[in-house]
Amino acid sequence: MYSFKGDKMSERKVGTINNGVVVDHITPGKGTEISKILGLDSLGEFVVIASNLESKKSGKKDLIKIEGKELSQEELNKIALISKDSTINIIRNSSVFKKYPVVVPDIVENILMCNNPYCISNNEKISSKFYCLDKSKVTLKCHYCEKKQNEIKIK
Amino acid sequence: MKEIKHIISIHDLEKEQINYILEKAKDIEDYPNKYIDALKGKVIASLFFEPSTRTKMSFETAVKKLGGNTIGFEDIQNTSAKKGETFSDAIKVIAGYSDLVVMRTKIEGASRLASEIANKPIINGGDGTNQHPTQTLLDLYTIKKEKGKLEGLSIGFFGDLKYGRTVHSLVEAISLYSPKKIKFIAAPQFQIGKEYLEMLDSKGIKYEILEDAKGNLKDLDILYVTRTQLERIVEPIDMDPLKKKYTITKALLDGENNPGLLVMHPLPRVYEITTDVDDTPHNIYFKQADNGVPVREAIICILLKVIK
Repeated sequence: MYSFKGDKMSERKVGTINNGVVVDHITPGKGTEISKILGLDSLGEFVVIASNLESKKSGKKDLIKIEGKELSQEELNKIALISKDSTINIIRNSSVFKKYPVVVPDIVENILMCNNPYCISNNEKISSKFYCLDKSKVTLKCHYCEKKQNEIKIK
Repeated sequence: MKEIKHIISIHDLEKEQINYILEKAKDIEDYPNKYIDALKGKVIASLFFEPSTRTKMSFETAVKKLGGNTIGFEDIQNTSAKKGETFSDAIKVIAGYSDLVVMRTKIEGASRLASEIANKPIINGGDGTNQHPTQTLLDLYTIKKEKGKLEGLSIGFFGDLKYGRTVHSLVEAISLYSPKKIKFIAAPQFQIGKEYLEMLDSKGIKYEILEDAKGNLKDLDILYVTRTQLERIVEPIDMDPLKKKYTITKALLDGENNPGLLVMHPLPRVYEITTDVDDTPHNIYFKQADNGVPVREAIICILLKVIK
């Protein structure tokens, strides 16, 4: 795994992949967290995590390139919850085969922990469940304790 | 109207369903003899994982007046939760013994979970800081009974508007009835949360944020007073200077010259209303507590489908 940091690092300078996925336009500083929840440490494939790249769209961004990886819907949901403006590039034969933005799901099941320690979902072995009230701010409401929350805690 | 299967959160109820509950409560209060045997042969489980006086007694009175029986506990120490049994297992077993389960818990969302895993109707009698829907229903019943209507009223909320769950639920519920105006009267650190103001804005309901009761009660129909939820405050706070300013007295009410103003309080009262208000026509807080019985009778009858 390679990690690059630096204000002027262009994404072209970062290693290319042949078949896999590029998670682009990650909120600066969130690349490491996404790498962690995708379990990239133990993937055994070529992985690049770049921080604070220049971005025309948002000024700065993080970016992750993963060789030989396909993302599941659950992984896409997790990425959307951590960094809602990320885009996914599917790479085939070193070219972009498909490009699409991540979408914050309307209902988030068994991915997050409720921030309320008194919530039944933190006191009983059950799946957590949240409703997304505002996708632009990623405001979620717990199905059980009804607490609204913006801080995301992945299980 | 959609069937009411459980009473977990005021958010679950549509206006039509609330009106239906209030209408049945009125019939039960006016014609109690019609309902004497409504729960004959029925067993209601009353599970108070957290202590409660009024809510528990009010539910148990409701069951007795309808001819039913209760089982249950009011101290978690005497249950198998102490042996490590999960909440889910306990609820499945107890729901099997009974026809309906009423519960109060410190853990929030416990009654929602119960409604999903038990095969019997569940009533949330309060889950921590979250919901206490039967209190909101009895508050609405009281307002309707005393004012003859719920629509178009001017309502003031006074005291601890930040932590008091009864205020939050009633603000949401009354917003269904196009209030003329809402006044939130509280010290800045106890003022109502922004999310409730945004909700009122979205419905075009007028409101005012105020710090003083004096001079601001003249045009109100209802003043809903709450106790400071000291047990929910994390940062220590010196309440003494606030106590004097945030107390409703007979002298204050006399000065407002609003004989039609009715004062409500979910009780228990600590210092927020002086006892000299008790003997004035403004006081409806004890009637409000009494109304818990017919409202809870109606809810139980509706959930058990013993009423039409």
